[in-house]
Amino acid sequence: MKILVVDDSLLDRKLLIRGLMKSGVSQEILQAEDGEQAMGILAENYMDICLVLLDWQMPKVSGIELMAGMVKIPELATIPIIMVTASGSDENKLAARQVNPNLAGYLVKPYKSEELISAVKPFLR
Amino acid sequence: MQEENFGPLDVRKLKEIIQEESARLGLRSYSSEGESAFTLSLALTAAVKKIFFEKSATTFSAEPIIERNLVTQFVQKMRVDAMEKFNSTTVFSALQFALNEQGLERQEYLVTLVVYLEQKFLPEFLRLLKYSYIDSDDEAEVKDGCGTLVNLIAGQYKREMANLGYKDLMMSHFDSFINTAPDGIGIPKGTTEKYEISFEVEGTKRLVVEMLTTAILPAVQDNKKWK
Repeated sequence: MKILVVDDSLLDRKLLIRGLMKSGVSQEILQAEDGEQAMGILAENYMDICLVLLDWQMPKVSGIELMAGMVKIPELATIPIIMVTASGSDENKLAARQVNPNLAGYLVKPYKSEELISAVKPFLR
Repeated sequence: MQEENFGPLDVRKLKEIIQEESARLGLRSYSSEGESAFTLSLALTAAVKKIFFEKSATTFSAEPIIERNLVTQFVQKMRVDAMEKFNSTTVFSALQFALNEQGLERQEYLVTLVVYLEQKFLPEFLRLLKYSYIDSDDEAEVKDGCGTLVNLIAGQYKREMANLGYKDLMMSHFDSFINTAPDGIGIPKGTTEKYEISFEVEGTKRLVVEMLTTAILPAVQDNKKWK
């Protein structure tokens, strides 16, 4: 199974991927730099993706928009999504849960590597 | 009811659904403050690691710890008590970035950097960066040495910011202090949070770099705002 990391910042993606790999996550990691690119990856690979780590603010299609679409598409609706965002505001947390009541997690940047691992661990297979 | 489908999905259809849902839920109105500030804190982390590695192949003993903390403010300046960072005499240097020279004069800062370290370890840090020996008991030398360090970090940080597509900003001269800055440190207007990055040597925190930034940083091109 694969993990999809969606973030427009290369530095943020590198940090996330390094954190996952250092903690022994052996799943293949796919990357997208915005929601639109993520759509293409999801369309081709959705059967193999066990988790999406999703940034909020991105050009073209934002993370929250991508998630809103995913929950309406039966093939994608069951893929767990963890938002990974610098915004820890209650308003945004609430909005994310309203868009996706099954949201698998909400990590606020900067996160500790232990927080990242405990968030992703239940979804690795 | 939709049939089970294991083939690729139609991306155009996905796009349509996403657009419909986004409009229906008004998702474009939500903002995610601080995303680019976090990326800039990663760029700063990379800058610090890079200068130590390039000058003396030095690496820190653990991944730097990045934290987001509230700023203690008074009269639009940041109150600093460096003894909160370390348990011994601490030297720190600050500098600011602005759009241009006028921006610096008017104190219209876009980014503030502050570098903290224990006074007794400053000579060793400078040695690693190939600078000549300084007397850690001489206050003027210490302040100048720490200023040199913040200048080096800021210079590399500017290059990292350029790599991310930000416009080249004007850098101020540094100000150095020991333990406290009596008049505070100039920060970007309206900033309430700072990124605090701690670097460890042999398992102990030895260097702290803080970054404060406004949410409106100019990019090289206007249409490239957050890249």
